[in-house]
Amino acid sequence: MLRLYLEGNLTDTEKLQFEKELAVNTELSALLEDMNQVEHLLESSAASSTKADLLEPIMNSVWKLGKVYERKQRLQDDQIAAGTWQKTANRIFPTPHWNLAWGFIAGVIVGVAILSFFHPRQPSGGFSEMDATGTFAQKDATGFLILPVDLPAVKLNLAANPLPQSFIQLNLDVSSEENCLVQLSFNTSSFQVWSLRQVGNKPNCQILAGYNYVEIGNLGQNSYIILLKKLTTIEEELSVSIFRDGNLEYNSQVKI
Amino acid sequence: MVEIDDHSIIKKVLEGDTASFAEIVVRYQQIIFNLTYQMTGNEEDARDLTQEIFIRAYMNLDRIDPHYKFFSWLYRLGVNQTLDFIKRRKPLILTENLMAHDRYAENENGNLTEKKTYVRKAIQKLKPKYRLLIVMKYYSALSYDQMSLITGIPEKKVKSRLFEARQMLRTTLKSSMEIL
Repeated sequence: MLRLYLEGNLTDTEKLQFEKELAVNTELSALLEDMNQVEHLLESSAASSTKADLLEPIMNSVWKLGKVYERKQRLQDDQIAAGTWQKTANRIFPTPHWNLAWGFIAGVIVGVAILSFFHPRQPSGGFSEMDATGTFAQKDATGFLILPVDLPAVKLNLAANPLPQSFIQLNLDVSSEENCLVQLSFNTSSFQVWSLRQVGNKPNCQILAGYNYVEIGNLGQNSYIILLKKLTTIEEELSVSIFRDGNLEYNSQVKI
Repeated sequence: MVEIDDHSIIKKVLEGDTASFAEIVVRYQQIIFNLTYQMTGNEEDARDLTQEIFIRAYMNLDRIDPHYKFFSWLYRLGVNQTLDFIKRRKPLILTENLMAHDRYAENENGNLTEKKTYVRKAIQKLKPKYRLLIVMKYYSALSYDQMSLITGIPEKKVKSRLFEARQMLRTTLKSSMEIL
């Protein structure tokens, strides 16, 4: 009833009855007074809020993103062109069996290409594995492949280079025809983000770093370099997630 | 001077007039910042979050339903982003950041009275579902109708939960801060 009274939602009779009760019930009247004070404190506290002043940084980021809608239009045009190619392909491979066979052959070719590309190379010198504080499953003196991701709409490759003094350089290549969000998250006791940048500084990306995550909004084909400082000497987990339209499309954990 | 409505501005942005987005930022940056600041209790996090919210809004302008109020859509985006941020953040860091900021506020900014600082601290102690309603009502001046639309909670429930939140604030302020 107190709530309804404060909101002014009591009928005249109810209000009269409540006020009669207030006159005799000191506990209730003290509570009402406190609640009014809380209301007053909240209102006065809200009145002195800190100024936002974020027009410039927001617009700088927006300009950096470029005219995203023009790009979307171009991508749609490309998709229309791709549709034309599909029609041609359908003429060459008219039955579903042919499509399956074609898909299998393409998969084998891509698989062989990936394997040959990441086949362990000879050490180039200049870096001792003794300096590395973390290890990956596939060791390579020039860079450790940890995660190739091949989704229909997003291709990603994450490689890590251990550096002296517990630093780890992550090289991240992302290719997506639509906006996607790549998130690397970790425990704050495991890593610290020291720097991150986009190679070539193209306008169609957004990079954000928090104390326990790095988020990259990607469109097109881009490369990013992230420098992490490892805070422990044991293997630590790094979570890699890919979102599209706010939906999680991929998630995996790697140990560094 | 007649103010152009939000959807007309969005239409211009979608047609390639990127600069028009500044009008949207000018209109809503304060209300979104108030949301992120009061929810996180940390000015730096709030600034980063507010920027992120506007950038996400810009990237998704073409998905807005013209029958839906742009402000409600933007605010809801802000709420989701902020709650997500709070979920990812460790409570310990929240407390440390808040304390650090309050020390700064008390020492450097004479405008903030002790009572207001206590109120902000008490708000931070509320669970996010209660804190959100307090922020929406007092720092964003939203109507019960808007609060219900944005949170998806029936208006009646919004009112009762808000009352519970004020009662919790009363208890905190009365017992630990002794300002009532």
